[in-house]
Amino acid sequence: MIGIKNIGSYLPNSKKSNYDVLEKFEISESFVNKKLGIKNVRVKDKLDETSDLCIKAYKYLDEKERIAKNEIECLIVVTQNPDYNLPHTSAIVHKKLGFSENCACFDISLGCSGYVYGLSAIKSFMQENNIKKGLLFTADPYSKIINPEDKNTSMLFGDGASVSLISDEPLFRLGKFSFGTIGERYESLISKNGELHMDGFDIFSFASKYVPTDFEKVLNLNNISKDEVDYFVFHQGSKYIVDTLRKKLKLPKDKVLFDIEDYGNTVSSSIPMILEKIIEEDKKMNIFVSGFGVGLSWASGIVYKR
Amino acid sequence: MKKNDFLQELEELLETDDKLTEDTVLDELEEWDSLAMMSLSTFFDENFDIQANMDEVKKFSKVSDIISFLGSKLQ
Repeated sequence: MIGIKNIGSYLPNSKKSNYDVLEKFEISESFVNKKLGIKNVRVKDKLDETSDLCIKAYKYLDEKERIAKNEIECLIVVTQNPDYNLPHTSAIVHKKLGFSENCACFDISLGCSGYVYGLSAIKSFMQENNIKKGLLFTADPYSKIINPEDKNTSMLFGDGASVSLISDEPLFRLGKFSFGTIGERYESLISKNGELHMDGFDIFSFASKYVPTDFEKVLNLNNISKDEVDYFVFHQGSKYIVDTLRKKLKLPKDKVLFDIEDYGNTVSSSIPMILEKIIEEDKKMNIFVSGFGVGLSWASGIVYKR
Repeated sequence: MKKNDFLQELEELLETDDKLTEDTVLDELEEWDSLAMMSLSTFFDENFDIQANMDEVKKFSKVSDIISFLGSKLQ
């Protein structure tokens, strides 16, 4: 059975405070605290490439797991801000980590739904090819494409990376997942000529409509009730979207996790960063995960912690 | 939906402690910001099957403007 064995993540030390732009963007402190829920966004070192963020996340994972380099047979990077258009960033990470040639590498081009998609993709790939250990990276440094003068995006997105060790001896077993796309609305979150543009209104209405619908479907697929779920981990877009989903689905506050005050929306890394913290809680748990965004795309599922 | 029920829904949606009346000026509410406007638009869609874009919602100046906008959808 293939699932998540452990997770490491990396956040750059450099922070940009949203309190410093209150006047510039004509917003209040309470908007930052109560609505955005993001006080600081992290910004990577200019010289760090996407692959470097992956390597830094890997160091944290390696401290916990002591991975033998020749045992990793599959390496996937989820990103839409790669080092280069070609080659794939996973090949660069492969080089920097000095892994053996006997390792499949490919990237997955997805945003906020990418980790959940990635889990399903790597699980299937490993099972089909009888691979015992693989790595699933997420790293999407939006600082590469954000215009600091854009109120819609510059206060939201932060840089970061994660890596999950996927193995046949998992700590988190993967349940059934559900996926979807509304390609018609692809322009709502788009990088054009190297600059990110977001129609926040369309993204919000998409998420507040489609995630709740998918929620019921996922519970049914997994034959589990809402009350049997210990934690709900939604993509951490903003406090407002997480609060909206919590209220719509009538979920208890203490079960809906929110954790990005000090680093921002890290795109595909937001869910694994929270799962990494859950690992420290030494008990069995059923966790609902849901990623949604660029595409417009979504993916939800249940993971079971043993 | 009855008008009073709508006012109550609006209070919840805006998470305001102020008692809303038709004369309430939206811009004077701290909670009336771009995100609240998005929620209101979503609320229209879900409850009244009305699609309002942000430009339309931004034009509301008083609560009574919202009520007029909803017209016969409110009793």
